[in-house]
Amino acid sequence: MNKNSLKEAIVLQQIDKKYIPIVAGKTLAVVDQHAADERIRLEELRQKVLSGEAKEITFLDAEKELMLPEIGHQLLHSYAKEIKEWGWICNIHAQDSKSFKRNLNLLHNRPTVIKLVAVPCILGVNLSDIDLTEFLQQLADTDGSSTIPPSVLRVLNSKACRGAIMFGDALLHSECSLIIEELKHTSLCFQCAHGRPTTAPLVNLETLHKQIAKTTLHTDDSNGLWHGLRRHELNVERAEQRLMSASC
Amino acid sequence: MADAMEVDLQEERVFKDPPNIRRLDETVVNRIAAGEVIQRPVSAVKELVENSLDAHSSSVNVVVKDGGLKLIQVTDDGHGIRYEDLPILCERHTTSKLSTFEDLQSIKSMGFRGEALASMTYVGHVTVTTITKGQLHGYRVSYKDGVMEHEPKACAAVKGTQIMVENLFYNMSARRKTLQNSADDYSKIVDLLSRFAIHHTSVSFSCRKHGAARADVHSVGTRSRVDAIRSVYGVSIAQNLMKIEASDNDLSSSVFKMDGLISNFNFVAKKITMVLFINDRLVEWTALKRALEIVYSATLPKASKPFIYMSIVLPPEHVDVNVHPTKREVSLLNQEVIIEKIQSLVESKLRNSNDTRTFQEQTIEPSSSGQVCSLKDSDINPSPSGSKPPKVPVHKMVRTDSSDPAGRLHAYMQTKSHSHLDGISSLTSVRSSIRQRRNPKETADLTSIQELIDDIDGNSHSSLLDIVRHCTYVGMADDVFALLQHDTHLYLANVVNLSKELMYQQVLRRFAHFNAIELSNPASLKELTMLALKEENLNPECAVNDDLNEKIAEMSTALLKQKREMLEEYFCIHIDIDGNLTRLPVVLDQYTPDMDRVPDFVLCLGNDVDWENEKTCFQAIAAALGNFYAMHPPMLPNPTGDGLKFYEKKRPSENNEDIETPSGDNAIMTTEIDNGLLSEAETAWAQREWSIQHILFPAIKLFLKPPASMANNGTFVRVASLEKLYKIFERC
Repeated sequence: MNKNSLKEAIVLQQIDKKYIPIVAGKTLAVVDQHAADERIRLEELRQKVLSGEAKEITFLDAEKELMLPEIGHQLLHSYAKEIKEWGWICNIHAQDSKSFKRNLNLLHNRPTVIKLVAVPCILGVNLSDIDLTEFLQQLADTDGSSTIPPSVLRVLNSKACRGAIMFGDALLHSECSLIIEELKHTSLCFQCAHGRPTTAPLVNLETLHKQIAKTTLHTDDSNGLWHGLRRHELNVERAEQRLMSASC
Repeated sequence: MADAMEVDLQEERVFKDPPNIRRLDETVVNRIAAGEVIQRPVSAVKELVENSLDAHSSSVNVVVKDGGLKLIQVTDDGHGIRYEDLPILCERHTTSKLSTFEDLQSIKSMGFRGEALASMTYVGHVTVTTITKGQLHGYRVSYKDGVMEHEPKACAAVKGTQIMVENLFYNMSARRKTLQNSADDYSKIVDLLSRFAIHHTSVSFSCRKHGAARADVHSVGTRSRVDAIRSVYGVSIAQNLMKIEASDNDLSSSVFKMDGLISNFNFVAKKITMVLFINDRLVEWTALKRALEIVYSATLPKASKPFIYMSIVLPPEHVDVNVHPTKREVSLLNQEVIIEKIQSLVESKLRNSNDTRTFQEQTIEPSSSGQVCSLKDSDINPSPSGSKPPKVPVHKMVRTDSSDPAGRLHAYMQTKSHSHLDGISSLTSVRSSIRQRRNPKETADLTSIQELIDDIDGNSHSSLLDIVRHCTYVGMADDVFALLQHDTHLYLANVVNLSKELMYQQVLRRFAHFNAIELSNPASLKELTMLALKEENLNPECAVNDDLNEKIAEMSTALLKQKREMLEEYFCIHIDIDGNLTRLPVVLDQYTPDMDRVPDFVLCLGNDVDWENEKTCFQAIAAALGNFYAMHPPMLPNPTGDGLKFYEKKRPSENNEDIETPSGDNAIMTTEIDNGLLSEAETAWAQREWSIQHILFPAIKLFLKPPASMANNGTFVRVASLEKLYKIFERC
């Protein structure tokens, strides 16, 4: 099954308030309405977040102390740009590495105090300091490649799932068609936000027809007789004879 | 007491003299170094195989005993070792691959330190058998602690070099013991060889346990990497790979070329497999691995443990190969940039490569088309979501239908060109047909008809009856299959078969009580028969047959004319005195048959119906009517999808309109779409679908007694159950 066949899919009516049956190419398939809508929403939201539209920064009411090991502190320094881009704003005391206070802290083996001033707000959900630590860890693991923080992905996934059309929602045929139409435009149209399938093919109609033709060929011993009717050979003699017998 | 001891220790630390610094004995140095280079048996195998590859071998065979502790034997067909070099072969820091330190910047060979073989001799017994090109015989020599144990002995040899390492770590008891307890050294060696095998596709590798007949890795030199992966890692990986390529030639950021194969999202594994070669060197790069893992889990949560093969080529001067004792890691210029580039490439590849998804073919057990309903089905409660339509009392059902003005007009529209109804069915006639339905006995005043009806009732398949009574129509899956839901199952039902049967049964039930459809243009039976005959034998020698056909048509018309009274009385098929068909029965209210099928029906009456026996005669006429009234796909091909081609290429000539078929021989070829015909076809198909949904299925629910034969002739096919679908989709 591929994306192209989905392009020309014919949408049937909703089944059991859960699935949308489609005929794509020669295949009958059902689409999970929830998974499909979740995928559509996920890509919408992702686009929004990446473009910065749904990304805000929330300043905390009270500054929060970040407890980081020394290595975390260094990471914070080296990846300051990425972190700030996503909206975590830290107030690092002893920003200047040469400052006396920092050296003193080092000397006393005391963890450096970092105050978290603001956190990212993705689609209305505030991320936390723990999410920051996690992001730092990911940056460290990958030499600072610019992927989306895992916490943001989590928010995206759960938001996509929450707002999507649910199982058991009754849909009109036009609404079903709309969902399938949107699904065609998603880039990963066959899986939902959590990696589960959106579409399950049921049967290839072409092979089904062939199979039925084959089985009926085997079982059909009534030589085409259907309720006592079948096509007889067409010839003049027969027509003549039939007319004769009818006349007398 | 404890305090006192602490003080003691401190005092000791403070007051003790610093220890003397001594120069270590050379054998100690060598053994320490050896322990570092040869960490496990697998590192020895890696060094030896890399030597073989450096010697331009085309085949490398590895035999291992006891996870490599007893024996490691690597045999290649490379260029061999010179006799003169044998004395210093296993000394430390002797190599053929490097002469000055600057060479290291442009090193192409895998070895360069001249330590591997030497290290092995310090921790194991090494025996080398080698022959170089053009020599008559080879030499064999054993080494210990870097030097030959005896003069090289002449011996028979095949091309290349064979190195045996026996009793590895015999002099390092701690390591030997830990390794003896761990069982996975052999699998590590197999894994190593597998990795080499898929990168060096032109070299054939094999790896086996000592004494085993079967090799655990066996690759023959192939040109395709995917083939190599298939033979080493298996089909399931090989068929789920995507090619990926990248290059960058920007001196300011990074210069590299990468090509590789990565698994798609059909691939599911327990853990990530990453085979990475940088400048042909098998290395680990945790940061890249982790970065790709993150991409996978973010994009394809289900396939988050990928299989990745990558070969990255950089200018040698950008790679520092000498950063790890076993050369497991290298350091690169601009690592971050390269990671980022590869990562984003993989991500976009994953996002866009999703257009094909292979699904495991669902197996429809052949019996499922037969036993559409097993007994347990009746135990299952109907799904609570109320998929079942409420049972509508018979009379109300009819009223609902006829109060749907849009639908009614629709149903009549199609007949306009051919016929018009004998007055729109008034409530009176509807009432009479409903009354008739209430008392079916009233109809059957002939025993033969009664018998036929009893046959139908007696032959009815109970579970199929349950399906048709309570099914919900979902839609047309293709030209003949309608998708139905019944309880928790989905069925495909053959509309043609169903409607045929329904019409047949309706004819018998309404026997002699039909309302009439008046044809606007009475059609000559003879002409109709001629048309049908023409279509029947489509062979090109039609001209010869024309006379015969005409004779047949004449006689068959005469025959039907004789039967006209009976046809009129019982079946409402009115034939006027000139042999024209003027009236047809209403078999199903609101439904007029496809007039394109009249010729075939007339031929059927004339040629196939047996008029002698009352019962078989009625039955055959009913069957002929059933076949005629059934909801066949319209003659014009379905304009959606492939059918559209028909309207682009062929334009049938006007006079042929009634019987044209896709193979109509009078067709004039034009390339543009015939819009008139196309819209005609579109209406025909739309009307048919409308009739199926709004006329056929309501009627089937009420009247059809499905015969047992429908259970196994492909009329009903169960395609899925909702419980199973639920499992397929799981839940979020």
